Amino acid sequence: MVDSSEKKAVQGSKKKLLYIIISLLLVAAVIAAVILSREKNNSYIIKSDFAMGSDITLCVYSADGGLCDKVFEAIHTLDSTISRNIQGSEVSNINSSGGEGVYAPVTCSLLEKTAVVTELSSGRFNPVCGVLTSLWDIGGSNQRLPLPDELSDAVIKSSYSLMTEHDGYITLGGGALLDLGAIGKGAACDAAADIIGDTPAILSVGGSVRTNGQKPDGSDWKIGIRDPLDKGSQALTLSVSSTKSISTSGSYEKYFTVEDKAYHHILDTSTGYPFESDIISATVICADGAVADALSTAVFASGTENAPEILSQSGAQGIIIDRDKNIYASEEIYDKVSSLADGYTLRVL
Amino acid sequence: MKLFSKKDIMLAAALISAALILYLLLPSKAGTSASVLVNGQLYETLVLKKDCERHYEFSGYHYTVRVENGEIFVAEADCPDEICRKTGRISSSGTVIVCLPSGMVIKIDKTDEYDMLTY
Repeated sequence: MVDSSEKKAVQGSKKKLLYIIISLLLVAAVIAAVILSREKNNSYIIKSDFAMGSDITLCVYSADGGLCDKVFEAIHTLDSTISRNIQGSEVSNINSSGGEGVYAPVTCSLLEKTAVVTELSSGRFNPVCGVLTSLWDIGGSNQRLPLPDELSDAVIKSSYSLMTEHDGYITLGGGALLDLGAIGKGAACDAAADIIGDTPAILSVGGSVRTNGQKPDGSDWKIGIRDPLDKGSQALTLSVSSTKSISTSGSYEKYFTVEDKAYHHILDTSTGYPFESDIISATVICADGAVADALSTAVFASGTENAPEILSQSGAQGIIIDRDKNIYASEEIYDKVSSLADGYTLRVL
Repeated sequence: MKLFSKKDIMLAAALISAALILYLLLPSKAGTSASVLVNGQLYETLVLKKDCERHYEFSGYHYTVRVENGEIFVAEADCPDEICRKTGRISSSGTVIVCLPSGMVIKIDKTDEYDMLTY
């Protein structure tokens, strides 16, 4: 006969063992779940290319590496259509037409999309700026500070009204030249998005970014905005949850210095000189890439005071950084801004 | 007879939360760039989003360092102990590969992670 207390002890130790096993299994399950959730849906392909004078980086959450190549091909095709430096492109045909109407459907649709930005910014965003940009050639091999006479001549040849469009035809008179440099990268993002379709992806064409769909792990896309005062790092991080175009214009990116005065690359076609702005970096978030590009130029050129009006009229949001390290964010995205760099203050635009 | 007493449930809860806390504390954020330092001096910074291969010679030792799929590792080394090569692939922010013979350190930069940069 077994002693009852001994029996209890055996039962007790069995019970303890069972608990330990169950506890360990639970812990193992939690750890396994954590590891699985980290690995799950996170496979992506990153490829790089070079077009439009810019580095292109594409990250697609798909196993289809061929998709990246198709996207790059579409961007190269767009480049050879709207680059003013590629012979036979729509824009170079327009520029060498001598006032004749040129059939240029791609250019026309881009100009139609961004015409509203020209209007909203009182002509500060002006694609009829080719004479002026060639004269300065900022970042190019003939970069120099032009003479006042040259500038006043270029201003006359940079009037937006010298261009007319009708049914896919563009007519450019008065010795003016078209330059889509300010919207090319955003337009490339749009062309890429047409190819990418529903596949979650994130793309940068020379700093103009397109988020496509939702990130498979359910988290937000994180967009770093480069610190205009310290180019090696970022001023802030912006969280974006869906398909958006994000474009930044600033005086810090491309400029040259003559006698201690810096001349940046965003030129005012009404004066011939770079815009005098209280903004050093303007980021715009909206649906269309070309429009985002145009708006970032417009917002930069128009200054902090006019920025809210331009943005709200276009249904876009913005993040503006000024010289005094103030970061102004549109109210709708104010809580999407995080990781401010040292010394910056976040305010509502 | 109850299968679980209050004490047991508490124990299980404690273990689970301990595991969770451990997970949160562990450096899990993947970095976006890695710094190559020699005797504490920055030699160069490599972006982890882009695959690349680098050849270095420090203190007479030769290294082949590769970036692949967001990870960085010493693929080949002729240093005496090859501990750097044996460390394998690193990608988490704050983690390091150290080679004592030459004083080379490869460190994943502690940056705020972002997917893309706008400028």
